[in-house]
Amino acid sequence: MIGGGGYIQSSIKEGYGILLRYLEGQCLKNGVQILLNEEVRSIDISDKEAVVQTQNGNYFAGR
Amino acid sequence: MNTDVLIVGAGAAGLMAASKLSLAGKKVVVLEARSRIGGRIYPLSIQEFGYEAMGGAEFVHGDAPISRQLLSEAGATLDHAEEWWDARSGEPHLVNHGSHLDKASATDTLLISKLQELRSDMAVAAFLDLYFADDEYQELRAMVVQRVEGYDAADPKRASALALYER
Repeated sequence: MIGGGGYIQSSIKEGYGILLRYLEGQCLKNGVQILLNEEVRSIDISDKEAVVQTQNGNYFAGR
Repeated sequence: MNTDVLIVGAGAAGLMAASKLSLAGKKVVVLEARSRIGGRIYPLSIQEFGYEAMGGAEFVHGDAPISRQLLSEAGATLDHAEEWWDARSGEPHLVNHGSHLDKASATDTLLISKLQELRSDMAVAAFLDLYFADDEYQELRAMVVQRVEGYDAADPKRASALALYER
């Protein structure tokens, strides 16, 4: 990734984990469901929705 | 399960998209194949690794305004690299900080100017062939390929040229 505007390289004292915790917190605060161990096997997209099937046999539909 | 938005992958991009869309009032579900969030961000704990370390993303390169803004919101503290070392000859040695920065900066400026000329996206390899085929750009090509393969774990023949530059 080129950031542009000169070459600065920085490290994050707390590590990138702080960014993950922040983003996860924002998501959970707003009601996002994060489902782990759901490996996507297929995605079918139509005009009305996208249907995703995971290896656990679960189906998810997004409008 | 029905939802407004399905996001595949709970890496930084997926979580960022989920955060913004949920803030806009959308019902969002994120599907992650692994047993953890983070994708290529992989903090390793003392218990797991012996000391705290980063198993994936570690640095912030360039101005990267979106990343730096987000990190600021998250309360992160950034340390700037004060020394540059080169080990390509086999023997690590301290390089001249100013000249290294000037060279890296000039390379990035040249790359960005050509990326800004693109009207549509193309693969990184095709982009390099188009604009930097001459021998004088051999080092630049190697640097870009190293970034794409090393940092992005991507194939330059398939990776997006436009994605090289965070606008």
